[in-house]
Amino acid sequence: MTPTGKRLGRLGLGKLRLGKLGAIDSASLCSLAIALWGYQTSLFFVALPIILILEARHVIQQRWQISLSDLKEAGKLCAALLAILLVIIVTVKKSVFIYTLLQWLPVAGLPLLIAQTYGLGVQTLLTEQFQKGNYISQASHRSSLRQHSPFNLHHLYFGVCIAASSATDSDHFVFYIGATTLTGLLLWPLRPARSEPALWLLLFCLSAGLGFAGHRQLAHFQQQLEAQVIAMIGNMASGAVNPDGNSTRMGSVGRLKLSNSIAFRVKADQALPDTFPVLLQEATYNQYKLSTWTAENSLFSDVPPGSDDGEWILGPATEQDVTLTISTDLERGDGILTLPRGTSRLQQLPVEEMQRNQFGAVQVNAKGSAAYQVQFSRGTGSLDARPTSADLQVPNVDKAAVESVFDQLSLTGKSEREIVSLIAAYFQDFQYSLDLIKPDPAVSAVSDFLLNTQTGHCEYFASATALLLREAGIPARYAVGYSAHEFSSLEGQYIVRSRDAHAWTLFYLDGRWQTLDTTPPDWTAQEKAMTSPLQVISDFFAFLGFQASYRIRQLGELGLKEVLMIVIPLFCYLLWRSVQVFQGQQTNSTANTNQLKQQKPNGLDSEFYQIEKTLSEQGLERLRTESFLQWGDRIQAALSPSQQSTFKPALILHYRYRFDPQGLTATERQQLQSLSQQWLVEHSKKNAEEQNH
Amino acid sequence: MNRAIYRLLRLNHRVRLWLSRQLTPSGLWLLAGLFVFGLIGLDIKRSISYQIFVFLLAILVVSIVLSRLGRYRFSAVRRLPRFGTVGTPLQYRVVIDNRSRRPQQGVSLVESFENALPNFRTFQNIVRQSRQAKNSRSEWFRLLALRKWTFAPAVPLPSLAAQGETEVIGEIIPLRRGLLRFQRLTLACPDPLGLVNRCISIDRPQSVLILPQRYELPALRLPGSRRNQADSLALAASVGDSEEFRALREYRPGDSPRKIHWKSWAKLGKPVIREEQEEYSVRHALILDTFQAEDYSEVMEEAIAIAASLAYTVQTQESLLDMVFVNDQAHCFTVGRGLGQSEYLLELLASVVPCQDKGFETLLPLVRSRLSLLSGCICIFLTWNRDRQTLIEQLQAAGIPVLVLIIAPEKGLATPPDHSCLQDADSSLHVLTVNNIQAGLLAL
Repeated sequence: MTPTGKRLGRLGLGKLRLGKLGAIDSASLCSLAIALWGYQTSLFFVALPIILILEARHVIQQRWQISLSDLKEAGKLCAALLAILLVIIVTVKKSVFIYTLLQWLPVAGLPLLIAQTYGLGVQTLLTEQFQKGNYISQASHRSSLRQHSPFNLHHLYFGVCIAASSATDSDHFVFYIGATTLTGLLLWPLRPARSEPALWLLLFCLSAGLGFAGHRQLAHFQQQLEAQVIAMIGNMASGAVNPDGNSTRMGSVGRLKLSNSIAFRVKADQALPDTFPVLLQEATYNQYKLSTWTAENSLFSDVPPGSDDGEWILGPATEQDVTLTISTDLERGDGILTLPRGTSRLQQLPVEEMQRNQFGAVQVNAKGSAAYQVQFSRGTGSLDARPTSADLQVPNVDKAAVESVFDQLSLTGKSEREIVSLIAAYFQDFQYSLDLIKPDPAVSAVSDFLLNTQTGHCEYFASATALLLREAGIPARYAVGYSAHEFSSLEGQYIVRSRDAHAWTLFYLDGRWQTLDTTPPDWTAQEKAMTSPLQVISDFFAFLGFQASYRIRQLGELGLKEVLMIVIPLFCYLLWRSVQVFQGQQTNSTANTNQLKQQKPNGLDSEFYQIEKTLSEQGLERLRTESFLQWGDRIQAALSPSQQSTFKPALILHYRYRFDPQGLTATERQQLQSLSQQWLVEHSKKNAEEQNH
Repeated sequence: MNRAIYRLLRLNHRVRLWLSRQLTPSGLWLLAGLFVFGLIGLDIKRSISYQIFVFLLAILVVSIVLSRLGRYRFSAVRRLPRFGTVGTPLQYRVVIDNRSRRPQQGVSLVESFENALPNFRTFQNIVRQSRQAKNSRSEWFRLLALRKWTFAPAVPLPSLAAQGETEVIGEIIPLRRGLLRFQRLTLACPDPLGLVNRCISIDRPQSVLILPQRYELPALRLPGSRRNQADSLALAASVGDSEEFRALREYRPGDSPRKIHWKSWAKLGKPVIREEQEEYSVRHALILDTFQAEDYSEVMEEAIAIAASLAYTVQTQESLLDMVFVNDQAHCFTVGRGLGQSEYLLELLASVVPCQDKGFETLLPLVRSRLSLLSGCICIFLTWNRDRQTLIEQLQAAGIPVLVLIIAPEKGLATPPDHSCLQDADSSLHVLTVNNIQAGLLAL
């Protein structure tokens, strides 16, 4: 015994006491784990019936002989339950559902739990299947090597319950205590024979303590790491649109690398021929400084929801309104919606709140994908804030270049309408290019574009146009968004790729903001030319993905009631079918064990084993390599003459009882019993005498 | 590419083997739990699985540390029998000397073997085969599993007395015929928590010959009448109809010394040979087809198993059995009537390898030379084609009744056998399918 063991022994926690702690059977352990799960997930109303089902095994004596097909049927029911839970959870949660699904796993595993608890022969079936799966030879089935794996569905269910109860964020100390205690109860009967109970307990407590300290440290470390990573990443979130500011790529060197991935899809609900190409705006900005456009004093205010579910009113509707359906991921662009100008109403947008700033950027806070309807009027203005002095500012660095072009176009004295047309016409001689030309460090990007290069991408055109308009006294803003112009015959709708991101100018004339896109119209063709011929394949897969998410969304649009109405009859049908194919033979477990006792095969209930046990306790044990006869010869000297005289006949009868196919007659069986008892009585007498001496 | 896959498989095999040695079953379950909880607990804000993950990690670490602390000193000697048989548990004795001062409990014995995993060449062959047969991945693993030499789970040992020897019984199930090489025996001592083993390995290279699997055979009535065995039974211990004296004659070179009549030699001073009436005996041939392109096939293993069952079971007290097959060259071994022993044939069959470089026709001259001696013939074929049919036709033409057993793979034979080549009523032809050999044999 180790020093610790000795100490504990003195304290009364010795080997005997701890050793007598019986092992809890695996089903009761499951009940405890289910209770922990119910407590942790607050699903008492589910946990309690499961515990009752499990514990009813003490009352219900009936057991069923389970065949492989029955077990498979139980497995199928589990899968069906899991699928049903998945559908319900996806419907209700709509976004991060995996942890909720994990929490409900014990419900899905119920059929297998019942099979293990009330079925006979499940263990054997599982062992056989496991061996078949590992291609272990058939020969091993016959051999004494055949090992019953400790694999038991109760153990698996126990693990599932612990995993399910840990898939919550309620960090109670009770959970850790409960989970470690249950693990301890599970491991206790599996401890090796060599291990002292007290030592085992001590080591287990040490591990639990280490685990506690460790997970506290881990949580702390994770928090620190997270803070550092957030600081490092900053606002590097890709694809996000910032409604307060937009840094352009003007003045950079290299080549714009544009992604061909599909960002969203647009479908016109009415077949109006001139709707497309359409510019879909995300945000507008009014202040330009050092290649960056910002929205000065941007203030978001709530948009009132409409009368219908998922309806939002952005402005007054007109009779000429056109409706588009935009299918997109709501998380794309950090929740900034991509809308055509003049949007009056949004429908089927499942968000809880919506905000809009005075520059027309609309933001929602939602996850998952959606297909919302947009009602907008072509040609009418939007409800963007009226122009301010900021909409007329030209930065000093670009002033000279803008004035020089202004003079060159001799815009002085022209009407505002003429000025707009002249500026638009002026840019038609410019070149569109995705190459970012090395700028002259002394000259700003827009000045360089206007005076020297006359080549650039949409950001140059939009910025230069805005500054020229401002110079002419027309309020102008810079808008970013997408151009929807590519019709996919595969999908039957317009697809908008990331590379279709675009920038254009808004100018204020006749009391409303109007769009002016001076980028040469061949920009779409140029960008398309860069597409790989294999793009078709990735488009096809994108389409499949879109269809799948569309179907899931359609399911999501069903309410919980509708889902349950579909799912419950389906489950009832599956249950009914399983019951129909159930082949289990009803057996009464208690009667069965009695019967087994009666028919104990091969004379394993021979009383001679008592003699062997008594002798081995005295240190005269039989070696594994010895037969009873050899053993008898070896220990003969240690037996008294009277013992010797009964030993041999008893042994012969034992051999016959054990191996003779004819077995023993009732008298002979009686004889074996009496001989053995006689021997044992003599032996105890002899022992008593020796002690007296 | 194949080499990379092979290395990955080998790594997988080694890791699994290593884990199964180093961890007890509960330790393995705990490790699996560690992975699952680690995965669920990745997002520590949404779940508290990381707490269980860290606890499981702690308990494993404590177990590992504890398992390294104990002192174990063992030596062991294995006493192997000469032979084992495929599919039959092979028991052998191991004497373990525990040289430490404490008795050791809960120790288990694990055996390691040479060639536990097929080498790269064999692996390539498997890949080639599986490509030909368009096998699925599971089929591929099944093929790998078929080449496993033995099924040797850990054997739990009784308490090992301190500073003394304990004799224990080890048990394995050989899965392939041939020379099974034991490499080292490992004693796995679990830590006090019962999760991690401390493995003490002792190098003890030894080998045992594994005989082919044998099937239960029905009482076979082999066809055929007795034939004259001219002088070929000189070495037989018991003879049937012979020993009938006819005449004495002078010794001629080549005469068997057993036929020398010693008394006459003593009288005449020169060797005299005793001539006897011609010997008549029943003699059967067992022709085993070993011609196949693959290194290994289930079909051939089954054919050898059937040949072994026949060689072992057929009553050879009053008749002779010639085992004919081609390995590196054509072989013919005779047993029966005290000549040779069927165990000897089993040893031979344990070492038979497929003949890949010769054609089936190499067997024909050997069979033809013995046609006059044979009363009947059992042919075990791996397939059915023109050459094999020719052999059967030749045997039939010589008036020898035949029993043809064709071993078919699970999917059946490529060409169905032609029963028209059998001419007499005593001859028969049976197709036995790989997974159903025993039933097929009992139905003969």
